[in-house]
Amino acid sequence: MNEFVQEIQARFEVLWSNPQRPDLMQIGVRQVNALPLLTWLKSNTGYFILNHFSAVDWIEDGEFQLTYLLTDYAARRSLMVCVRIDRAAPTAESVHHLWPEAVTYEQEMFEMFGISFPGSPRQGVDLLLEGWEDIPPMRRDFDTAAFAEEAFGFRPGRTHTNPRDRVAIAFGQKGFLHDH
Amino acid sequence: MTIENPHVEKETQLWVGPQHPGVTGNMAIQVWLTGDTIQRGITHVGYLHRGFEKLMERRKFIQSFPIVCRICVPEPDTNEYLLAASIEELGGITIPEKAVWLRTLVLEMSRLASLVQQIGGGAGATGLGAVPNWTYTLRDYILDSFEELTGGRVYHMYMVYGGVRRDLPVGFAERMEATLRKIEERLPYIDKVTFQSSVWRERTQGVGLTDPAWVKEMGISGPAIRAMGFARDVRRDFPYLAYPELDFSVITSTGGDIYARMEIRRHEVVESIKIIRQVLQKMPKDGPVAAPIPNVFTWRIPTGQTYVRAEASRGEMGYYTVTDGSDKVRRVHVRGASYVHGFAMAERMFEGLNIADLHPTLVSIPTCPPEMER
Amino acid sequence: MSLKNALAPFGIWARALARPYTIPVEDIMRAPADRYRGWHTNDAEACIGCGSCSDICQNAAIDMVVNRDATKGDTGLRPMVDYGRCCWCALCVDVCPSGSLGLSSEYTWVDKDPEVFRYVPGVDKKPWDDDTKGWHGGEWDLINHDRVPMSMLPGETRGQTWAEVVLGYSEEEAQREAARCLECGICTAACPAHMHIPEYIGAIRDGNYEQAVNLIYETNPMPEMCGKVCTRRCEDVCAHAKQGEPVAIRWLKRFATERFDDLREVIKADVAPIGVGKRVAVIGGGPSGITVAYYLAIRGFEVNLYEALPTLGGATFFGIPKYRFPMPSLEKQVDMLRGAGVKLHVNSPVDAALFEELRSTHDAVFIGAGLMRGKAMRVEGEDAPGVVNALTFLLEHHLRNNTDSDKVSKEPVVLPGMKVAVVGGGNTAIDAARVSLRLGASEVVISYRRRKEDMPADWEEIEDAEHENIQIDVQAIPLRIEQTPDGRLDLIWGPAEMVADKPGARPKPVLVEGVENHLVVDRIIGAIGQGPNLRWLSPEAQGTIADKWGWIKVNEDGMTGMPGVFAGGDLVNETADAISAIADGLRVVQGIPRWLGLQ
Ligand SMILES: Cc1cc2nc3c(=O)[nH]c(=O)nc-3n(C[C@H](O)[C@H](O)[C@H](O)COP(=O)(O)OP(=O)(O)OC[C@H]3O[C@@H](n4cnc5c(N)ncnc54)[C@H](O)[C@@H]3O)c2cc1C
Ligand code: SF4
Ligand code: SF4
Repeated sequence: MNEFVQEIQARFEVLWSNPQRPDLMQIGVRQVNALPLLTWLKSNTGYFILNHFSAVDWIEDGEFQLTYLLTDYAARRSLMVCVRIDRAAPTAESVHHLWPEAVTYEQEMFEMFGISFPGSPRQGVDLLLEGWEDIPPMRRDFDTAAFAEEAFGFRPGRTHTNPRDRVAIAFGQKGFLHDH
Repeated sequence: MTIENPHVEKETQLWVGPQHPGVTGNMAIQVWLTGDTIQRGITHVGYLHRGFEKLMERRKFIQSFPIVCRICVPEPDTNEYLLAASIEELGGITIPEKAVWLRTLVLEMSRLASLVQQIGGGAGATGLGAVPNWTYTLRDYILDSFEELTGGRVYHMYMVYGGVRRDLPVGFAERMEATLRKIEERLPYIDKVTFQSSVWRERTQGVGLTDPAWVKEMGISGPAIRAMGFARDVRRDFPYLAYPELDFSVITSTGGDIYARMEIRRHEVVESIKIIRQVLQKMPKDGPVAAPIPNVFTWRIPTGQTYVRAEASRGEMGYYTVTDGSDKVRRVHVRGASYVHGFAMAERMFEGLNIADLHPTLVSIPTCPPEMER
Repeated sequence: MSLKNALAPFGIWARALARPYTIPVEDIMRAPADRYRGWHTNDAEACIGCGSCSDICQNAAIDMVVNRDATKGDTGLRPMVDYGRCCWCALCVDVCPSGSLGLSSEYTWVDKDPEVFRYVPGVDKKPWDDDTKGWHGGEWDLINHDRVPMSMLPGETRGQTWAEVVLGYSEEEAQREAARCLECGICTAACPAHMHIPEYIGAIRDGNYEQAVNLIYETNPMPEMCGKVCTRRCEDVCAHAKQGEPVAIRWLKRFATERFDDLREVIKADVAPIGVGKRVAVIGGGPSGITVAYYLAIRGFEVNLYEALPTLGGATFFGIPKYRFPMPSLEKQVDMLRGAGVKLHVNSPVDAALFEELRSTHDAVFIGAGLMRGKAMRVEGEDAPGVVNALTFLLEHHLRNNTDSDKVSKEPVVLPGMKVAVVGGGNTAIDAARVSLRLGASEVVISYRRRKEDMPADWEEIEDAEHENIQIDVQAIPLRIEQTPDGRLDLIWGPAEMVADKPGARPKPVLVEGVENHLVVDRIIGAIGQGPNLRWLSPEAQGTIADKWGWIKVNEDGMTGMPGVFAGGDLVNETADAISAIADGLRVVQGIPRWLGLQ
């Protein structure tokens, strides 16, 4: 597996690699190298099946991560290619010409994360959400709890007492390093 | 059989669904027809989106179990297993031997229940109402076993990190065996009305074709790929749990049509029964069913990511799980076999399909909207 | 198309005469499986109201509702389940630390009123309340109730050293143990000082040790002492203790404070200087006195602390041995007092005259003089040479070893090779025995009237003593002490029979007449309790503030019958442990400003 990473490294800069399992290698590459690498993998290696493709929101880093999982079924090994992209202007090159199912993945990521893949056929067509106006809901800063509260709420008459508060009040818990 | 349409130049647009057309779940196919031939079709989902992946990002690891099982009605256990396995891998938990076998047991039971149900669904979609009646009954017998093992019929919530929640109840093996016999006894009847029936063969052979060339392009899996002669099966290719120690065959066929896909299921039922018998026989009698895990309220898992896969009745199911050092997942992406089958592959299959064959085709793939939209 | 295949479907006509394949409804209406997860049950008496069920429910189906008064060990809340949300996963059952919650196997319940599908299991009576089938705790638990073990010096060799027995958690161990906390806060009720336990444990878990010690200092100015020797009532009621081992609250506090060699820079108080210009005198440098002094000093009071001995700490200095609570730990906490500006007057016993002077020169006086009198065993021969009181024995030992006091003889009472008997069953007895061992005693026997489970000493202390090969004779009533011709002592004792007492009380030991046993030893140490000694006060003052045995009564501000004179600690409370003394001190920290009208 490591030799294979070296083989990749010889062509494209590998930022980091992590042998997560004997059958699963993870590598990170720069966005500029993503499409060339994926194209090379698809046409020149056994890793031509795209099992899975999705995004992770690293909001604190100001980045999205695109994760492509490719599998070489003959060798029974998978390669996870991770690419960080700018969260402020999230655009990535489409891979729909390499793998037809990428159309749906890219359509979904546009809808759920707001990441656009110019040239991908169904960009902007609703997949799961009709008439959604809020920020893309899979972004970390979309507050599902608040949304659920507003959209569904609790049935009337529900009240909850926090056990810690009840004990603190009943027994007069205080603090003496601070005035209250 | 395509009826010649005198008005070919006129195209009809039709929405098929989103009513539940059998066992395919709520989704819609927008088709453009000339006569009764589909020129092209687009899969529409969104009727079942529950935002499960997002919900999991807001829950402690253990709290995701009641969620993931609901991703798939017929096969909740695959989801439980993949969530458990991915978090265990990232959190450094090893499960005891007994749990390995118990997990294998429920995974295979759920595959069996699901395969049986799909056979009924496939027959039902071609108008054979008796078969689904039988197969749903059989599935219910399996659900009885699930009920006594896990405490739930449809959604089991049987697995937890570290293992499973309960050992086999006393006498479980005998009752399971009785159910397996019932299924075996029923199979010849199913054969008679379907696989051996020339009418049904006519209806299903050479219909709903897939092209082996697609295999190089798309992540096709399960009966859909095995029906094109590829012996691909996660249980063999990426062995997990007790599967390496079990004797079973990966069934293939070459027709690439509805018949071939249904036939594979028919034989997989037999394999599945074989596996369940072996598991019950080889399973260690004693030992803990779960390893202790950190406090579920405060458990934090270091930053990491993994992809864990398993063979569901529909094909490869995978969980891409990312942790970030907190007490919740950063991201879970559920990769169901239908994600590829239901969009990219199905849309190619629609082309040239007779409208009457649409449902049998979908059911034979099969497509499962709950795992497509989560 | 072969004829055979064309006819194949008709093969099933054979079934036309067979029994229908569908299932008659009677067959379906079977009982649910034994583990079926249906409506909730709860043993409302066993439930402790911890709210773990409510916390784990990812559907937010459970509210904790007020059902009864909060007590030590029960928040008085009980879970109410909203079946509009419940999905019957039973995670709530699997995390319930008391094992009280369950799901019955009953699942059918029809009603026109949706509101009834919300009830408090075990409180709102339901037909399935007693269903033993279903999904109940106990069989298997999601929560691990095992404590992270503490490393200690090996029992066989530690009797030869004064080194600390408990070695403390490593950072990894502490975080792992802290992560066990269920954060219910039940412990805070049982802690006399109501410390912010779940909060500081959470901070330790997250590695925020500064925050942890600051939270600890909110209510405790001697946390390193409490972290090592506290009676930890909190742990008795910890939710984990219901079915396993409580969180090691004491060891975690110890871990947090030991992270810092000097706490003066770490602890950040933020209080109004309400006491500027006011003077308070504190008599006694034990935990209660230290508490009053520290928290008043940071509020701007001028505090003068008078301690008879050369060192502060009170019984935690002169009573508790150093292998449990070493001197550097104590000094660290005394440094905090200095840092807060308390004026320390050691070697300064207060007498009647000084007391009156303090009253006139200070705005308030606090008495935290502790229990300085060891109780007599009241057996014949007790005044024979070689019979000593544990309190005197320990006090002299600590003055000799840990101060430069010239008030004690250079030679210890227990010498190497001696055989020692200790009479009593409390912490003092165990301490005296283990100190004797470390002084070189060849054999140490603890002789106690009741059973081992009745011993008031901490169970861990008892275990520790046993690991050091200290013998514990139980149900042994001392009858008299005789001197043997070769100058040794014969402790003559009779066996006791345990007889049931009033309901709720421990069984009583009753002497079995006519049997006499002999325990021949070199030294006998009596450790059967301590009492107050207020003879340093004038008889009038004693009469005003104390009862005839010397116990002081105070009001809810901690003030005695003498205006402006406050008291606390062992002299006042019945529990006689360090944390109760601290809690008494905290009461006075509020009482004095209130009495002076400073709020
Ligand atoms: C052997 C032993 C072991 C113990 N083990 C534990 C334990 O493991 N855990 C626990 O929580 N508790 C333990 N205790 C009890 C605990 O130490 C006491 O409850 C606590 O110290 C009481 O605090 P206090 O402030 O009331 O008084 P004390 O700690 O008793 O302090 C009173 C101080 O006042 C001084 N004093 C008295 N009269 C005068 C005067 N006239 N002028 C000036 N100073 C005066 C004394 O010299 C003494 O220093 C133990 C006690 C003993 C004796
Ligand atoms: S978890 Fe158990 S003990 Fe705690 S409140 Fe719920 S039912 Fe009561
Ligand atoms: S069974 Fe599950 S869903 Fe229902 S109250 Fe308990 S934790 Fe919540």
